[in-house]
Amino acid sequence: MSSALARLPHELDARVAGVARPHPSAPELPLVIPRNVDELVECLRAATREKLALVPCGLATKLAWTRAPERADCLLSTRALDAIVAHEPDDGTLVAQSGIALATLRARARAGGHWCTPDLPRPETSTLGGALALGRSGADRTRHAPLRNHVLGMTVALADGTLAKSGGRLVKNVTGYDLQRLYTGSHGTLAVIVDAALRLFPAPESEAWLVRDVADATEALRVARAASELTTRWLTLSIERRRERWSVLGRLAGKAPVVEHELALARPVLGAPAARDADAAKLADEVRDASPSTAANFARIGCRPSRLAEALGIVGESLVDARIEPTIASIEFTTSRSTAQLAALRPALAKLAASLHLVSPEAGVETFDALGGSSSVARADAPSAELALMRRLKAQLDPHGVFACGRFVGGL
Amino acid sequence: MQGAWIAELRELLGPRGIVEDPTKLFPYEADGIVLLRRRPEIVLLPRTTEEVSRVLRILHRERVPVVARGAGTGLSGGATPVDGGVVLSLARMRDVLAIDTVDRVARVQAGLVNVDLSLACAKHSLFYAPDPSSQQACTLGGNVAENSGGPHCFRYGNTTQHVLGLVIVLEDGTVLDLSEPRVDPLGFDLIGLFVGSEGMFGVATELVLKLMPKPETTETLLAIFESLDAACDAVSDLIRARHEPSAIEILDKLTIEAVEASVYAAGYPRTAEAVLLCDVEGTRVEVANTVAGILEVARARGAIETRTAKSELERKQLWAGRKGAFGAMGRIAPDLYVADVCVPRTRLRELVGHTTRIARERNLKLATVFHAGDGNLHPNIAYDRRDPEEVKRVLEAGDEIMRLCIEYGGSLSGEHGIGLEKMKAMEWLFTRDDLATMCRVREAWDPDRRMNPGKLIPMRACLETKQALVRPEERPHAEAHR
Ligand SMILES: Cc1cc2nc3c(=O)[nH]c(=O)nc-3n(C[C@H](O)[C@H](O)[C@H](O)COP(=O)(O)OP(=O)(O)OC[C@H]3O[C@@H](n4cnc5c(N)ncnc54)[C@H](O)[C@@H]3O)c2cc1C
Repeated sequence: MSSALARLPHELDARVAGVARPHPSAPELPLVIPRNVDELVECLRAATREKLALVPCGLATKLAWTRAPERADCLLSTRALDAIVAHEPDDGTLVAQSGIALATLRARARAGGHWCTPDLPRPETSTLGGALALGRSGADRTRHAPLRNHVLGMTVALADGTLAKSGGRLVKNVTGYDLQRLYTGSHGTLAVIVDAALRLFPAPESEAWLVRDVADATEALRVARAASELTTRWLTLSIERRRERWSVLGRLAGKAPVVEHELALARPVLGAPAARDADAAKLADEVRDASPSTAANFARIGCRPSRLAEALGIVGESLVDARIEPTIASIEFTTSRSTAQLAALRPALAKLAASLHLVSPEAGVETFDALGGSSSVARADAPSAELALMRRLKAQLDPHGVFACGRFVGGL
Repeated sequence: MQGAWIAELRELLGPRGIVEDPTKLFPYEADGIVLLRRRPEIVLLPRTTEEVSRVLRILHRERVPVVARGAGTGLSGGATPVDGGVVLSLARMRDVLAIDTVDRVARVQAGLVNVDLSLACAKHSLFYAPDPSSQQACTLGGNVAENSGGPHCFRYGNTTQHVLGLVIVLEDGTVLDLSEPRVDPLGFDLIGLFVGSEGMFGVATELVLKLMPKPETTETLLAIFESLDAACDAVSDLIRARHEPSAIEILDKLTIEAVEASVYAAGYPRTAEAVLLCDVEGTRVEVANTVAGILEVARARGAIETRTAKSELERKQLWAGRKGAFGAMGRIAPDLYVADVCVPRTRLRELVGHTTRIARERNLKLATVFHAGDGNLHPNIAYDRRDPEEVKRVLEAGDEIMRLCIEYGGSLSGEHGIGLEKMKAMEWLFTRDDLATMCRVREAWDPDRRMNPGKLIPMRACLETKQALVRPEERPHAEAHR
């Protein structure tokens, strides 16, 4: 990877506010922070003109989640674009610039009587743009479904500085292609997210946590399954493994009488509530922030719910701490195994059509997917139809690779 | 159409798989927008993904434009044939391939009719949530292409939230198998991007769809109002009070009269100016709580009567009335112009007021029925297509309604898509750059723009992009579909 500290054109140079690494394994580069959208556009135009490669970021806390770029000249942060553009509590929508911290967004939504998804760990140091670029749903996905479902519209800046909008601010809208779905989860490889409109959900009036300690993974899965059949309204439902202890945690939230009723339903399986209302909210923050994904090294497996037990069986020995979301069918875990050792589990996971994503700053990021017809999606040397299409999308939106290449699946 | 490739298609699809007789092409001339008609050259009816792939390979080689077609119930001219093109109908691809009751997913062929999926999984106490009013006829593939909604999408979301996997055949016949459901997309979200692409990115041949467990309890409520304004205000209040029923619909007086005079008669009081119809689903306690909240809001907004359905039969009747509303309006006039606009839910009353004025000023008959909870209005204008002067007034009214919606922060379509009908209005809502970006994305899927060409994005925006990106000599088939 080459760095080009001396080469930044004046539009970018004027906005350099320090240095940062585009990946933990890469050298430091200038960190460019435009103060407003006009400056962002200028920076991108200059980058295109000078054929630079940029790594877009928010607070640069999750750059280890992709690979190191093949070539990069600087990081371009949206952290100064942190305004709330519009908030319509009576319509349940909120539009904010991408640099806003999730904590600020949540507080604003809450003041209007709403809940804002995604409920991600460490919301003070996560930006909206970062969450969207990662396509990362929070623990509340059990109730609210993935984040990508609730992005109503977006404005992005393309590589040449063009501002392009898709969708709108409406809870229902099919006007034009859903480009916001394309940008969500694209890890800054296609465009810089400038602002996004989100759908909000009613803030719960009352909430409660249920916690049951269990002997092992088998019992945890059995209990979690029983809990998921009691009510479909869990805000979160997870199996947690911490320091070799297993427990099942459920969070109920909503209108007070409804929560009471659900608590009564859940009692035979998960017992009496461990925390209510204010205490429950505190516990929620603790649980959320204890996510294995906050570790420097972690892995994530996704599969069909019916294959969760088998997938867990395959990685069981490798787990240190883990969070398993039974209705989502995801296993997020820290491990003492090396990337190579985990990669050796592939054939067994492949039989379950499970996906595995490893985040390991030293070894870079490995993603593989054992899906029919697309097992080679992440392999640049044998592109599947899927990867070929992704490349064409990249070529259309960022033909000169201004958004640094090599970071995402298949070298995108 | 003549040529060796036609013979090839005949050979491939057999006599039942190709329609060439001009007298039999009539049903394919239009979708639900009968004002937009074009005779297709031929209609192809493959049965499998493999056949679709082989067909598209031939059409790619011959540079023939393709319009995919489900049931042709679309209301934006999406399935209207294009000059010199073929129609590829999914009507013979209607198998339920698998229902997985453990993971709650169904794999179906794209030509399956929407309601048939819920019927197929009813015995497992599962259902497929998106329920367009046309669900007795429209195909799931058409729903995916349009990102269709329905009354219950207020709670469950439009089609896009229910698509877990797809098999798509690209314009050159490449089969893109994205059928294994993934927790999160690996790479770009191709499925999310495809849904709502109106047949312009490829042909969906198989769909993997999410099934939902049937709710423990369902209550259907009817609130009767003396004014349409009051019904709209009640809906804005319901949203403001964070009530979460599954469906919130409004029917106005003219719609009620049409429904009650038809086979869909649901027992809506003919004297009412508007009715509010809600479904509430969930556990017993949840339902009771929400019903109480809705009744309170309705009464506070002056509902003269509120009712809850006493039996499953009554429930079904109330919904049959709503879902049959468009059909029932056939009694008012031979043709119906169905607008499909969205506004923030705080502005329902204002917009409904303006649509009434717009219709009155043009001496048009307006019947409004809509997914009020989502801010998705269907001002329906009854007209007679044989009267060109009336048609002109109808189209003018449609345009004015769309412009107003844009002014109110709304959009051109909540569920029916843009197709041909609203294409020009895209320039009112989006900038040239917005549209050019859509064109670029489209060209990643279909570089020659042969799939459903001339729809959704005004041609001007597309041509400009193409010229900006690619030199003329690099445009191999550009002339094929100008
Ligand atoms: C009485 C009535 C009520 C309606 N109510 C609703 C409603 O409540 N909600 C709603 O959302 N819509 C509604 N609609 C509109 C319409 O039914 C929907 O848009 C529906 O999804 C269209 O399905 P179809 O199979 O008829 O598609 P078609 O009309 O045949 O095609 C629609 C579009 O999809 C494309 N297409 C079709 N199949 C495929 C495929 N397999 N792959 C790629 N592209 C494809 C076509 O090219 C076209 O662009 C209603 C229509 C009518 C007539």
